[in-house]
Amino acid sequence: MSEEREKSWSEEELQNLIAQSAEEQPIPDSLLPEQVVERLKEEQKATQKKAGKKRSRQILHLTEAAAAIALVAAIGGIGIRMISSGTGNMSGMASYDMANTAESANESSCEAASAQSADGTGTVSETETFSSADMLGYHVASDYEEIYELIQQNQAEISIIYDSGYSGGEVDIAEEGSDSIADSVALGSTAQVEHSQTNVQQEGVDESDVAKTDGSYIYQVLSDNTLAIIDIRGDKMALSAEITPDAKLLDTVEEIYVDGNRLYVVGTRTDAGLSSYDTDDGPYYYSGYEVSTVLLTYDITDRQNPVQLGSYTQDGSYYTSRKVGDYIYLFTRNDLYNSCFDDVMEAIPCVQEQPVPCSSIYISEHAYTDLVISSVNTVQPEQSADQMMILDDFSSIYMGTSAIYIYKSAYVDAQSMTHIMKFSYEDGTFAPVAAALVRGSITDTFAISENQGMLRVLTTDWSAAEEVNQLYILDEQMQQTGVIDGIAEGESVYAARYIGDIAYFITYRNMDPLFVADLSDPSNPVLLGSAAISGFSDYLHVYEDHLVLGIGYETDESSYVEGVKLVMFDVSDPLNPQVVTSCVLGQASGTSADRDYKSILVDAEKGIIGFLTESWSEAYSCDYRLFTWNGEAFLEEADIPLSKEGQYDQSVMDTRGLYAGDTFYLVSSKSVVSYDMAHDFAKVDELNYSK
Amino acid sequence: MEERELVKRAKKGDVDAFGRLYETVYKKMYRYALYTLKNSHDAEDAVSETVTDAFASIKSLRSEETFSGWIFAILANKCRHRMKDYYRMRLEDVLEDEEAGESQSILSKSGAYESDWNRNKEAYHDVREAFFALKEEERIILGMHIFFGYKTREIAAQLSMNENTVRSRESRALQKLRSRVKPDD
Repeated sequence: MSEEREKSWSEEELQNLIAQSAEEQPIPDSLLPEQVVERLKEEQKATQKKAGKKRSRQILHLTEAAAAIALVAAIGGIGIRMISSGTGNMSGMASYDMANTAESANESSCEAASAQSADGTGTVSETETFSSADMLGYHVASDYEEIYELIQQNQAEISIIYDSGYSGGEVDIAEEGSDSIADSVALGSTAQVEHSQTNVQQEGVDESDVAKTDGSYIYQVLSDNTLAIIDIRGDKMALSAEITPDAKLLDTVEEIYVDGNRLYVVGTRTDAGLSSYDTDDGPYYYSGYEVSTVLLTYDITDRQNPVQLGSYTQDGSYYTSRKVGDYIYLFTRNDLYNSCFDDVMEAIPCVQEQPVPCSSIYISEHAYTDLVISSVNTVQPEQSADQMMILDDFSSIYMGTSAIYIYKSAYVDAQSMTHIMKFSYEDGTFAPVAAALVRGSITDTFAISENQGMLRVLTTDWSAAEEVNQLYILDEQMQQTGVIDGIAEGESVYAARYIGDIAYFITYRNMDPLFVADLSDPSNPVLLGSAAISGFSDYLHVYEDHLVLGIGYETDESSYVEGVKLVMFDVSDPLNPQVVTSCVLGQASGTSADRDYKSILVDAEKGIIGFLTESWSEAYSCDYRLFTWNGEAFLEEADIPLSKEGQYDQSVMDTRGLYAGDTFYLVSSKSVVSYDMAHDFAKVDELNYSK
Repeated sequence: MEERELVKRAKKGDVDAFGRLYETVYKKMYRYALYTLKNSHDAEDAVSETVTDAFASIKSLRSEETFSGWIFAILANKCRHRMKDYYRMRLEDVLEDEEAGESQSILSKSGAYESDWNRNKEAYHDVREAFFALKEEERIILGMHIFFGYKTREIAAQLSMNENTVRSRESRALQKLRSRVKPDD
């Protein structure tokens, strides 16, 4: 690889090149200084007329410096930071029983935590630290005032750094939310026609999406914040109903669930405006906005006349949701940095207008984001079954079939670690179980997976001189039972997938080894074999028992990306996995596979593989690519252009491929087009949304 | 007029003084927004909102701070909020504008590639393409470095990240770019 270096730009050349490429981009007129000044003058006039103080959750309000300094001094080394002492051996992991502490936490946890912080700078051993009552850096809030003060403190802390800052923690932003992936899930028993399911992260845990089908109808989110129900029972498609939710309830439709005769709509509502209030120095202006996430339930027994049954509101921006059985779980986040609260209760997010109970709020020393989780029993769509909140850095979630795992990157003595909390959610009721700290970062949404109560976590440690990967197995109490460490030094995890007791994963530096690991003995997980191929896969899908599909990129010998690549691995002999075949799409420069697993359609029964590609080679283009697998090779069935005339258009990334029976449907916010899968994907019908 | 005086006036509500301060940073702001958000319409909105908020809250700018560092921080926060995967915003507005024949898409802006701006045309195009293909966090980190001129330490402070992590992510991002953009032979 070193020989090829000559052909590359140096870091400095690259940076200059990027800067120059930006300089030649025209700056919109509206941002020219004279125009901005004019606009501000107009706004100044307009807002000076208004008076009166307005409450707002998200406003840009920056703390006074003097107060800020005093408050920062008051923040001790509570929680995660104290773990940093005496943790010389980072190859291990630690776990901590949260359930016991949570029960006794109401009064004592605060004291325990602060007592710990007092000597947190000493030589506390790892085990001693974790046996304290602070739940590995968290404790249950003693009262709302404690939460309020913590938020104020953390705001002050950031404003010392820059006065306005990034409120998140150690985050792989691109890995968040919609970036996780998929299999198939049983929805209900209403459909007689076999049909596609949303590609979900965890089998048995449904996820909302922008388009769904039950075999008889397609349900989809349209771009203008309405929903459409399309009758696909005949060859000719017909619009059954359009639903436009009351704008007072919801102004942006995000995603939907369909279950029998119920349609669940997840959306958000933003209340915004420029406001001002009087201070001693004259009026104080701010732009404020308040974001809520809303779940609307519709009875769609009559597909032509959907009836709204209930609405449910939870404070915060929509992060993600899941559906298991009769319960829908909503995950919302509030970014606390830019928030200003006039009183304690204003700082506490509400679910159906009730503040999250203090005893269900878990706090750490980092109060930059609150993550609110509530469960809704769909039988009573306006009632919250349970709620909880985590006040912390930016965290991600993984929902297995028995527990919700909330994880975040943490840094301990410049060592990258992942902190994982486990909560059970049986029948919509949340209960803390345990927490663990493992080495490295979770770099792929599918790298964390639960199977029969055991959690498997594959991480990459970037902080070492050479990147190194490890696979942990944790038992139900988050105690480590086994580990494979020292995997693929110098490479990092690009994609992962678990099926039963087997783990498949891709690491990459300049080749793409697919590793197969046997996890059937939790105390002795073992690497079985690997298969190398050029390029790398960003997404893995267990296609059939012995076949694993990879979607990723082809690279040449010096790691230059040459195009999007499909590869099929034969893993029937796990000790000796083989590449069956691969296929390179040279004209495509990116795929949706690494960003949005829900955009992928893989169905072994139908033998189809569909996903989106993007290309910037001439003009911009986004295409839906459809392949079939005939047992030996990938056959390209269709390449359907979605973007128009080279125009970049992010909304086309919400295009989905669905099927019902032998018909394939390409569903976008502009149209639905049907194709006959039994006859070479010949176009059957097209339904356009006139707008 | 020196910056301190301009800030003082702006704090009293002098829009023109604010405009003079803004003039020194708006190009960098726009480029950062464009390269992190990948879309000129969003970039324009982000800068525009930043201006509104910055003017409204300029009283909180402390004397030891620079105007540029302060407004960059507000912008960085705005951009992060607009990242699709973060707030899952939809872009109907962009579509409507395009239908109205006012496409602001930087990749299709008519004339953007027609002029004979220079022989580096292809390289610029390639590097932009490769930059846009980076993960959001990578674009943020590189963008802060390249367009704001931030040092690793400052980026780490902004993102509440460990300095070593920023360094390793940045180098990984550059490595990715290097693998996707070839110099002409």
